[in-house]
Amino acid sequence: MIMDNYLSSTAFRERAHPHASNGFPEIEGARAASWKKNIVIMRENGAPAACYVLTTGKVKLVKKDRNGKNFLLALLHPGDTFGLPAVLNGEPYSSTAITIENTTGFRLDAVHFHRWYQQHPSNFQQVMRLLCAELGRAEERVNSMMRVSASSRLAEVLLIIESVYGTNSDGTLAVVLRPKEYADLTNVARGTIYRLLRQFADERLINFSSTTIRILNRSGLQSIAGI
Amino acid sequence: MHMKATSRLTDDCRNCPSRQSTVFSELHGERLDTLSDHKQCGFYKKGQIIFHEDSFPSGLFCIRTGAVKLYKVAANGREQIVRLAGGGNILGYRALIGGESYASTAVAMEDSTLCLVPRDTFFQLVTTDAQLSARIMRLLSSELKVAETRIVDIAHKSVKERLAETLLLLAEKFGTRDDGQTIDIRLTREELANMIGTATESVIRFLSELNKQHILELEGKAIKILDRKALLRIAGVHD
Repeated sequence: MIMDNYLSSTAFRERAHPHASNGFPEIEGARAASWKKNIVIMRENGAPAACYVLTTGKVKLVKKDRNGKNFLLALLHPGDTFGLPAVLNGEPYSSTAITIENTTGFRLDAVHFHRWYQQHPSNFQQVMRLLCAELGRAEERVNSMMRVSASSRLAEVLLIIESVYGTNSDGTLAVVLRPKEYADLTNVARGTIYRLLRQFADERLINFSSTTIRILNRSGLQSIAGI
Repeated sequence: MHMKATSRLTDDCRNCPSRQSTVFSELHGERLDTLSDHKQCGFYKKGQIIFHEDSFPSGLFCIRTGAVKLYKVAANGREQIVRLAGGGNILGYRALIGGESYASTAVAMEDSTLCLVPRDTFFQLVTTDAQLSARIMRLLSSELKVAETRIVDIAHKSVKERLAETLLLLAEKFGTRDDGQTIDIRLTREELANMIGTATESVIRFLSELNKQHILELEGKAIKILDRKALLRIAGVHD
């Protein structure tokens, strides 16, 4: 139950009917697409050629900071859309989407989007809902970044990764990010990430190696994350 | 009912002092009549809650006059300020459109007047008026950009840079008093810290530093921007 409440309060929450609710694949002109790992689907500042919805796999949204480095904005999961505001407003993409693993989804070219969108005013409402979902995702991330304690943010990120992407048969997290990505997600220096992971391991909350992380004490992590 | 109005106002939307800055500014004729006839206006005293986080919206709030703070309370009891809103701003649109509960609590920061556009009226207007829906979508898109930029800023800008930027944004949003320099909204040091995501002590320290450098002048809660260019430089933004 706690986890249910937790999921409903995070940017990475499961949506009740991820595929049915956004209606994307049913739109005329939507094409099924698949991408291999580490493929850039859309690029920040690129022309808004299409918008997308994920059906399987994992995608990260990154944005360049003032030093030109990519900063992780969000981890997307099935049902999430991206690229919509750019296509809607005819503006360049505001972030880059990169696959973390082999991924499938639907691509809707801008021309098809606008044709569908203008077909019936009730479609406005659907687009607004999709925009609200993207905005909700971003605002939750802002709130998460505002939390002061680094250990609470890292604990939260580990729980999110477990709840969104699940675990392997041996109980290790199905997705292990690089320390830099944990650092980017939590707004914590990479050295601090190592220290906190060691600290969590000493407290028997997790065990970890260079390639795996297993959560041993979920309620302990939840308590640190303030959930 | 979320609305806890202390008195009822019946003002026509045509007389609304904030109308030109609302998403409804382009409504005319019958559609404006529909909005004006169906909305309910209420007066909220300073400190009065307008809606609570996790409750469900019955409509869209539009600020006629005053200022509203939207905040969440973190598990440690700390308040996180999500947004400050002023005349012409709408509240609760994400929850209303997304069919979700409010993601934050709204409280009047000063005596304020807000109008509630009932859910059915709002959706009726949106689904029949392409111009209105386009405006709302532009608003959502621009809020999304702001949120994405804020995520990167929180990660990479120092507390001092974020404080400088926040003060400039407050001056832009709420304007200045007659002297043209004093920001026309009074926030406690704690509220500023909760907007920036830092400790109150850090805000006090940096404000005092900026005061000594004659970039700001502080008088109680009032903050006067003496050197806007210097503040822009610190914030790392260009005019």
